[in-house]
Amino acid sequence: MREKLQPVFWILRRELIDQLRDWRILFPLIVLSFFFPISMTGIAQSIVGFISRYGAELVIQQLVPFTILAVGFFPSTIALTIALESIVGERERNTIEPLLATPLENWQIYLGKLLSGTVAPVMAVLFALSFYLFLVHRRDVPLPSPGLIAMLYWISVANTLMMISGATFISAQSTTIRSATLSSSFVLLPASFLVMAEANFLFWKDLLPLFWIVMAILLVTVAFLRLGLVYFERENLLGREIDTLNFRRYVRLFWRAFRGEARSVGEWYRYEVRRDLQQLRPALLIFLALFPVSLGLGVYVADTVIKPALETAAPPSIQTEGSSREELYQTLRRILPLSVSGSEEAPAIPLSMGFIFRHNLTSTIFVFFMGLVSLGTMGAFAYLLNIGLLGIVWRGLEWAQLSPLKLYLFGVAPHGIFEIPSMILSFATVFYMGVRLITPSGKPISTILIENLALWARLMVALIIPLLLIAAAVESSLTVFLLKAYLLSIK
Amino acid sequence: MIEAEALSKQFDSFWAVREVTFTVKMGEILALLGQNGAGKTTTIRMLNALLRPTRGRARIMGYDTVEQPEAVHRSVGMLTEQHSLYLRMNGYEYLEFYARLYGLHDPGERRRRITSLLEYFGLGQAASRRCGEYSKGMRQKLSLARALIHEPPVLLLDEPTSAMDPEAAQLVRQEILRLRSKNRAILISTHNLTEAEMLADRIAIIAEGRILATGTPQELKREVFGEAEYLLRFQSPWEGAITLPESVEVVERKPMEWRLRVPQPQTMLPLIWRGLLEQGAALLTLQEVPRSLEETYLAVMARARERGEIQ
Repeated sequence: MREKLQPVFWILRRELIDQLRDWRILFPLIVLSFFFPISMTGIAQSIVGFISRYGAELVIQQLVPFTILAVGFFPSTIALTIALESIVGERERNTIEPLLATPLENWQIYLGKLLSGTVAPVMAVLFALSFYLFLVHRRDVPLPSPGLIAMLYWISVANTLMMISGATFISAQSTTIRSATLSSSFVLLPASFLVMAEANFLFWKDLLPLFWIVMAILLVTVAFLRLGLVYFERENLLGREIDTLNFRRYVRLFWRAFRGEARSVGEWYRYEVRRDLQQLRPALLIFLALFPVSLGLGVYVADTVIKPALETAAPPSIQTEGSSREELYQTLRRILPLSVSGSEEAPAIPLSMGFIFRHNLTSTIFVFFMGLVSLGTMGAFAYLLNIGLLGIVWRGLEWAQLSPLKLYLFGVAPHGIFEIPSMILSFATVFYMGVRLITPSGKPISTILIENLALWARLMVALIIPLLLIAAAVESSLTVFLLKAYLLSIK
Repeated sequence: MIEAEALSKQFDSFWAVREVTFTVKMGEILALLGQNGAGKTTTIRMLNALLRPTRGRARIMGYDTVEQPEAVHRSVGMLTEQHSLYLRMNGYEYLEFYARLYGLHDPGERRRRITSLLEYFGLGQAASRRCGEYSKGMRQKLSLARALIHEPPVLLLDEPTSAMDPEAAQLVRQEILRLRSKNRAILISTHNLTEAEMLADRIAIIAEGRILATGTPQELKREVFGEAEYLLRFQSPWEGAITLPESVEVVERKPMEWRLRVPQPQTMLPLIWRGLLEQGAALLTLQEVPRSLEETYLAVMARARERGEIQ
């Protein structure tokens, strides 16, 4: 193995020599990792001074982690530039062919390139964070807890690694630096949203969600690495001269994949949809198995995180001990997704079939897009979150001295029989699409993407949408009726 | 040894190379002669296992280019059409990088090879200068040195002297001939007719991905224009007669010169010369009528167009 990794090291070494001799890389690296923390320290100190005058120490405590996140994020943006240029740049300068002509395997070249885009930016991020913490500490600005500092290091490095793995993949698939640069938004936009989400959790010092976010980012990074390795081929690098979008071909390909060999709707269901379900079987089994696991996780989170938090910070109405039946009823109104109006007769939210269906369909499409940008991984996380919420609510109902089993029986089961399978199917499809994308098949990535899209569309049309329609019809009529009857009976 | 059997390559709906077949033995140079876009580079890339053939197969030193690409890469020294280098590295570092990738792990051996190649190509003094400061010719020479760093038995040279000054081109040509003498199989692609004629033992004329004609320069000329023609000049007008062998054809007969088509010149020409002297003819010169490779190339292209093989 050591022998196999040696060429990776030689490529990395060569690239580092190149980078360290290029002032256009050195300059921003130095500015972002050295001067930016200095200026950020000045800003932080002046804000802290201003806030201290008003005695808002709590705000200071919340602000510092956020500035650390910013200090870690900006040097990582240089990673995008280096990684985006790493392969396509060589291609454009015509230096790639001699490299491809060496007796190296594809993965050795790709890994060498990926690491060469990683070392300098990650070092810059680590240096910037450490330097900033040192400066902040010297100026007597209160530092966050060691656990939060460690988490901030993890988040910054994970963000950088994800951007690099995504950008290197883009670089390998682009034909010109221009096209790679134009595609950079596919990395930059999700990364920016991610930082916003991280900042949100950071403000509340919520370490558990941050831990899961880091895990998800690392999973996406590994998925991108795998994707890059699968589609990095000498043939692709030298065989394509320009990026062409042949829409007519794509539409034909989509329609062929969507329809399959079927000649009628019956055949389509009998052969094509059935075959999809057979292919999806492992993914479906995984998601079915994850159901009790995430439910249990939800219960665990409710016990270990939410309960202590509620007991210390929540108003009396949602305390878990010694509440009256009326208070518990009010608690239930807060917890349940079905909010009942003051008159008890008409729901506060008009739970029409159309509204429910639109909401569920939007969620399904959102999961599809989440899965698309994260190679199926974020879809899986969304599933865990959804089922985990059911576990949390289950525990919440128990705290309210209500029977979760009965409530789920009246409030979830009637439409859940249709909605939950459609949800599992939708998540499993998105997950399977990601797996399919990172599994070598010999087909071009554009073909796999279109076939994936056709698969998703087929299952949506054939099963998911009909199930969601039935679920919405049941929920808007039977479930509302049963739940309302149950709520009135326990009042 | 280089073997290509019905090698074909399709990009989308476009066939870049079609049914290309040839063999290059050790110690032989084959020139792929054709205009830009004829399929020369694609053929070379397939031979070096950089592109997968759509149909057909190729072997380098017996290694299949699809099944054993790494063995193929070890056996081939490749000079690409664009002689681009890593401009921030110096000449020595550049060769060292490739020496390492080709598995030259022994530092002493690596240093020896790099130094000798740099010296041979006259780059010894420039070894510590960055490649970005090199002239075009120097870059070309360093690229060739890179192709030779692992002492490969097969060389694939794509436009080896394109855009070089005459002096540098001469040096590269000499080096190619020296490598042939060291029993290497060499394939060069070029659109330079003079270079092809100077270097190649055999020439394959390629257009629109097809090989239109293959052979030694002489064979190609014979194939296009028929048997070689010879011009016999007299010192003074001569009207005598001579019995010529049946296979020799007199194309034109004037008092001061004859134009003959001779099928086996090595044996026939001395007989004709002696016969004429015996008949008392005052002979001045006997020489082959020059037929350039350019004429041959153009004639091959015209013939292929006529036959509808190319557009």
